[in-house]
Order: sequence, then C-alpha cells, then structure tokens
Amino acid sequence: MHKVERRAEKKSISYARAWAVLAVVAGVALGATVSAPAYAAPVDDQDDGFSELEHGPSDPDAFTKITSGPSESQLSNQAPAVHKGAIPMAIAGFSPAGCAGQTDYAHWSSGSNASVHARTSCSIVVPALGVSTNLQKQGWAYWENVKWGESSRAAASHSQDAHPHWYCGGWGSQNYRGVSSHWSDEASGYYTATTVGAENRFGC
Amino acid sequence: MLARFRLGAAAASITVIAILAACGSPPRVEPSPEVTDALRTLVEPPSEPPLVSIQGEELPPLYYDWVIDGEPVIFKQSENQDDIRLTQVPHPSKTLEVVIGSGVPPADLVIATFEHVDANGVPTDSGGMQTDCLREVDRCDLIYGPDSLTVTLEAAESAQVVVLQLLYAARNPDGDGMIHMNASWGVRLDVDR
Repeated sequence: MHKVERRAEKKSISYARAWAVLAVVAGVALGATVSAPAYAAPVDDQDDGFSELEHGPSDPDAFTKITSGPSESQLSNQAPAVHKGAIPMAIAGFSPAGCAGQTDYAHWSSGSNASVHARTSCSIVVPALGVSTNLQKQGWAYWENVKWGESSRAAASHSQDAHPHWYCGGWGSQNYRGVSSHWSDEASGYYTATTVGAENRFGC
Repeated sequence: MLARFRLGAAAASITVIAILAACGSPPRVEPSPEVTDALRTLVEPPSEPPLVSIQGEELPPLYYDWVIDGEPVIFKQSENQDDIRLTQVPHPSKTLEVVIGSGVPPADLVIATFEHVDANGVPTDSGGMQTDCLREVDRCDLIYGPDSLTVTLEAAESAQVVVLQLLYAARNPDGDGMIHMNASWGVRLDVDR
C-alpha cells in the first residue's frame, strides 16, 4: 500500500539556476540544440506540505509476477532510417522551459536505510512537473528495484525531492544507485528525461 | 519577421558570449556525484521487452520490470540471481554484437562483461566491467534502424559472461507522471578458441 509522507524542500535561487536561465537563452539563440548545464538544487527534509508517495515491490498490489518471458516483441513502424552513433536527437526536442532532471548518489541513511534523492527543475514555472525514482540494488545479472518514490507539483518551477528509503539491514555491503524518470507538462507538450545516479557501495 | 527573429537570436547569442567574456571563463564545474539531464519530448517505449540477440543467439530475458497492457509486470528467470542459467554462445573474436529488436532509443544501455566466475559459472567480479554505450560512444558502435538497434563493442579476450541492461521511460499507467522499465539479458561466452 502507499505510504504517504509529507516532505519538504527549501527554496533557494542558486547561482546555478542563473546558468540554467542563461542556457535557455543560449538554447534559443542556437536553435535549442544544447542542453541545460548541470546544477544542484538545494534540498532538505523539512516539511512544507507537499505530498510524496513511496512503495516497493513488496506491496501486494504493486506488481504482478508471471512465470514466462514475452513470446514476441512489437516492432516499430517508423519510416526506414538508419542512424549511426549516439541517440538520434532529431526525434526529440528539448523542453522549452529548460527543465532538467537530477539524481544524486545513493547513500546510507539513518535507521539502516539506503536512500537516494532526485528532482526535476525548470527555469520557469510550468503547469506540472515531477519525478519518480527507483532505488536499486545491484546484482551481477540486473539492478533490482527495491523501493520507489515520487514527487510532483502543479504550477511550479521545481519538484520536491523523490527520495525512496529502503531498510537494508542484514544485506552487508551492497552497491546501490537511483534511477529517475523526470517529466514536465508544458504548454507545448510533455517532456521527459531519465537520469541514472552514481553508484555507491555501503553496508547498513 | 523571420529576419527580425534571426537578428534577435543573433543578438542574444552575442549577448551571451559578451556576458561570458565579461565574466571571464565560466565557473569551473567540480566533479559531482549527481547526474543531470535535460528533458525532451517523450518517445513511447516498446510495449514489451524487445527481442535481443547476442552473437546471433536470440535470448530470453533474465529479468524485466515492465508495463505490459497497462499492468506492471516483474519477471525473474530465477529468484536467486546465482541460480540463473545462461545460454552459451560462440565468441570467435573480441567483437561482441548485440541486436535489440526495437528502433526506440533506450534511456540507458549498459553492457557488462565479467572475466571471473566461480565453480558454478556465477560471476564473482561484482558488477563486472560496465560500458555505458549511450555515453561512452567511443567504446560502442551504435546503429539505429527503423526497428532495431545494433551495438558492437570490443570485449576483453578473457570475458566469460556478458550482460545487457536496458532501460526505457514510460508513462505511469496508474496516474500522472513517469516510470521507467528495465530488463536484462545475458550469455556465457564460449572462450575455447
């Protein structure tokens, strides 16, 4: 079931945000072919009245298990095109509001918890934006999602932090990371990004 | 009008350059553990985990956490990762070829190679040698087609196990916002060459 927590974020007009605004101006000037630079949004855990949801795969209604893999995969019907190199950016336009997503490194948190923080920030107020983050524990075959958290706001320029916590006592030293999906619902459309935070090994 | 816009854009560009010049060199960005990326228009992900082949061998997934027909689904070949059984494929050269049966660009594409395994064939070198193919483009050769993505990279001759990890962003089927879907596939390399 969903555990509702109220969390907070201290607002701060940072020097880095000024760089983000500058990047948007530069982006317009250069045909919006550049991304906003990295900048840090200060955060803390004070309560400011915004809601945040957390749940993990242990929730009985969160996921359904099946015992076999997919028999086939639906393939794209896009027009034939071959692109060599990095992601073909031509198919994806950048957020006009200069929105960017950020995931911090996973870390040990008080009470034998593993945790990670992530957020979405824009240069201007947008109708809605948010972030959902999975805390993952590494195995050799895959990163397992152990806890999920999200945060969203309407009529804001930045989200609260999504910061899932997972009790990691008894697991010894493990490698953890956060993976986040960021989104902004803007007048010109819906924009997203995925960020994968730095890995961090620690025991609880 | 267009000319005026272009003139304005050029002026803005010059202004930015002038500001940068006036301030001296941009502030040095210290190495940071945070990872940041700009938001872009959403590209709908594959409706199921894509078909994947490594060295020409079509593989079942080892794991996926996906939304299929609007329902979140978790699949694990084995509850304990150490019990996973891998398909063995020939590995006549150092070059690995991975073909993903979807033309949708993933949000993350990592290929991990493991050089050390225990008596049961389970990798012992933790996460192995990981290559982030979307960012380390000098190490991976990516070819996007209309319905496939082909990745080639050089693996160490002593590599024994290869794991592909894919991640896509998707709309949350339970409400607003986004989620992500991830899956992995793996093979054991036949290193008798």
